[in-house]
Amino acid sequence: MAVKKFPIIIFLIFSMVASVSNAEDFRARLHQKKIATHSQSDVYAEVEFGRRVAAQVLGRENLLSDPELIKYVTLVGQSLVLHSPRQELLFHFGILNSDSVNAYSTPGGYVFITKAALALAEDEAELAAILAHEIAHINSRHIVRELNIHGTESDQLSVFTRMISASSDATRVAANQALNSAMTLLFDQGYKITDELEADQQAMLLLASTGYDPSALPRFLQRVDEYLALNPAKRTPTHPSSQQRFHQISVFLEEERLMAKKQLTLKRRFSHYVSKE
Amino acid sequence: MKQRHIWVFIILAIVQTTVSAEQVLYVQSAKANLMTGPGFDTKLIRVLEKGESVTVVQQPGTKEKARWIQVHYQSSDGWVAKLLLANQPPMDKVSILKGNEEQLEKSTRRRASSNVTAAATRGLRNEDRTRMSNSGQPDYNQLQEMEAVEVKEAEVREFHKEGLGQ
Repeated sequence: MAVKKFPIIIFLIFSMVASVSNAEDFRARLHQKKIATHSQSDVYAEVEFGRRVAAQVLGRENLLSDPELIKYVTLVGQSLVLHSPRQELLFHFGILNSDSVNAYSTPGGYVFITKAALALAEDEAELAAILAHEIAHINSRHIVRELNIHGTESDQLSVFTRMISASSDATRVAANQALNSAMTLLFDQGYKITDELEADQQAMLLLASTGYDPSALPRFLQRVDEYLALNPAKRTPTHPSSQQRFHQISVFLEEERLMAKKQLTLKRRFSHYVSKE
Repeated sequence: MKQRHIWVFIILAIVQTTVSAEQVLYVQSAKANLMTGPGFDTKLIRVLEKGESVTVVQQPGTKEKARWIQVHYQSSDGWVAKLLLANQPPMDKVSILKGNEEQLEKSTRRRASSNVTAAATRGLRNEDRTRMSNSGQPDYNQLQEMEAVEVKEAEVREFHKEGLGQ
């Protein structure tokens, strides 16, 4: 009798192990879904929306016209993009002719750096840090998630396109509100601190993966703080409090053991392209 | 006879356990470093390319190591940043039809301005109407200028190799 029961007990044990394994697999899948649940129509919606916001940004600030410098910034940005997870996006980089030390990004791959921010950077790693932070906001869909921009499963026409071309006035107002909310977030309100911290961490991962010195990010942020302390009139509401960011950044650099490693800053190449007149 | 069925079930359970434990992930970035350990201070084994698949060996739960996944690739085991992996192959580049936004938004603004009064009668807030009229003018000419700056991936790889030696 005991012999007959033995296989049943083994079967039950294996079934339990299998179900635990399935549960772990399910949790892993859930986690992966968090990384990549976007459908192609979601990406279409994201690019369409981001492109419209980028046009609004350019309605407010002019692009700097310096082809050699723009190409250099683009090459630095695209080097980061090579090591970035969202290869489905076409990234574009522009320099804004603005005296405000800032950088912006809009969903779908549009990255802007102001000429004042570029002038405050001291090496290529710092320039890369600014761009990597903006690329991280795009990768993590911070604006898209905040405003709930998504596609439809039925076809490739996004919810946003449907809204903006809708015959109903209220629907079009809602679409314009989404555009204005994105602009308010970029120029007046700023990202949530949790989104800033996430973008900082991802930026340092991108920098380290690409081969740049990740401590270029806190170095540049420190310089911005000093600059704004001397020029308080240049402070904008979108400059977040740096103290919490510095703390999280140093924890991250320590956890990833990145402080001790010799990293590249490429100061000479940066000086060749960015004049400090 | 009954006992034979039970053994078949046992074998199936073992197979199910083995299969469900093997999770395949795909490299999402154009380049991803396969390292000897969960950190950038370890040695580089090789650079994986976009779309290559790896099998998960383990995903550490501890906070500082949660950003890394141990994977099996061909004959080697190594670690890859979790950010660069996903459970589906990477998507192709998405390109949208560009050029009709300006026209679309112009007509939208026209319709919007002529319908502000109608909107008010439906109870839209003043704030909404102010936003409609102050939304600013998008500049698609500058946007197209920005989009026209294109660099080939080979040039980016050369620029990267020249400066950062990878």
